[in-house]
Amino acid sequence: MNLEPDHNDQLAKWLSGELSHEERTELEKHENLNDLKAVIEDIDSWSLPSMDIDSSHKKLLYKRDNQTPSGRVISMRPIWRVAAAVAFLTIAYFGWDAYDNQLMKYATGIGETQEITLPDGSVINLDAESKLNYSREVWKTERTVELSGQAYFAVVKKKKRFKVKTKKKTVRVKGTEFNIKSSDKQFEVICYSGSVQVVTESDDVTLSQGDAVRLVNSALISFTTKEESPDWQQGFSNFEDVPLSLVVEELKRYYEVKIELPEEYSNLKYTGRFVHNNLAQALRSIFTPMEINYKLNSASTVDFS
Amino acid sequence: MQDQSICEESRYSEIYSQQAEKLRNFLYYKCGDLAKAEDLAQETFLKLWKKCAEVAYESVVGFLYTVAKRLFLDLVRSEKVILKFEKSLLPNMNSEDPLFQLRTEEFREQVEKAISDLPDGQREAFLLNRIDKLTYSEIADKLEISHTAVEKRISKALARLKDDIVELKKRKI
Repeated sequence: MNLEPDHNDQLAKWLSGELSHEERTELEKHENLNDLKAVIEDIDSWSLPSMDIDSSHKKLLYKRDNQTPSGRVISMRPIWRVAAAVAFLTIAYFGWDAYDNQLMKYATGIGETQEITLPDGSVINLDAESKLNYSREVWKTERTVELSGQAYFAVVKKKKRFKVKTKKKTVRVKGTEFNIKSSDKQFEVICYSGSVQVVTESDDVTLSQGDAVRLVNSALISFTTKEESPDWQQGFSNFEDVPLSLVVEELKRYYEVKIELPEEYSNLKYTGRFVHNNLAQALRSIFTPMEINYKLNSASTVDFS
Repeated sequence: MQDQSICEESRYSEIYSQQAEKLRNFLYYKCGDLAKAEDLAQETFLKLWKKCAEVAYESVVGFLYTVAKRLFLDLVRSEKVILKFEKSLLPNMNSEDPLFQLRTEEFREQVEKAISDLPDGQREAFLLNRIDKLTYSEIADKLEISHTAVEKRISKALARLKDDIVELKKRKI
């Protein structure tokens, strides 16, 4: 019944009328394409609701002018080249208050990321399930942002100090390109360019390019990275000897998925990576090497057998 | 070149009115959610504004589609794509007509579902061709793939659609 494969290959040209008369006769001899033709004629009359360009254009301009704090256009490249450790950053405890009506709020949901350009041209890439706020009023006198979650910072060099406030311990950082991950369970700073100073009550560490620290039981543990940018910016999460329960927590930040990891697996150590844009593939790369049987159901629920 | 700048409000608006709906359709074929497609289209235009000084007017369409594709990839697609189109009224036909069976509301819905179920690449190429009336070369430019790749996708989509029609007709009888 079916066409030979080489006939199927001609269907695009058949549709666009690019076949010669002979080719078409030959093709149609092999298969009755009348039904297909009739269905396509019908499809050709289908349409999508037209867009209200005027009102959506107004909406766009409103969003544009209220989201980009200065409306100033900056190019990324010069910032990346600022390698010297000139910017000073302070990460301090704060209580998410002292807001004013000029507060700029950014928040990302599961699996979302957002690029934020600050009035000074510094660029922040906000990872999934993260929040970043700053006050335009306060900004006039000090460069201060508040972060919860994970973000990559490329800070433009200025005389004025750049401060990042998080919920974690008091840490002071100086540097130009770095990643901060801060949640109730974790705190981590990775320096990708320049140098970064991290200070807590008990530690004072200066990180150069490729150096990183993580807060473990209220002490800073150093480690290194060969990467040039955070893994999440490249669309995946990387792990080395990390308890599986934490890996699953991380997975939930990028996918709307219902998953209850059985107790017996939670402390198994995982080394590997998962991608952020394909749930089935991500699950495979986590559980297959661990030899754990699981099943992804249609409602994005993961069952373990 | 200065007067060609996308940072000019009038030029930016002009690009919006020319491109917004096409871009929205393109995103709709990818995600199957009209509201989400409009949001993504808006977000794409916000990015264009941010980069307006760097993007040359000639390459603005390429920029829009590249950014839109990336934004779409950032979104998680756990749910299935279900596309819905506005359709013309069915012509009055008598049941003697050989095409009668293909001209029922139910059959149309099943074709719509069959198209939704096509692999992403095939579905995009096919719909850009049939609904947005783009030529294969125009599709190749938009998707940044070769002309041959577009033909392959369309051919595969048609072959599959053809088999689906045969199946659907059998099911009826």
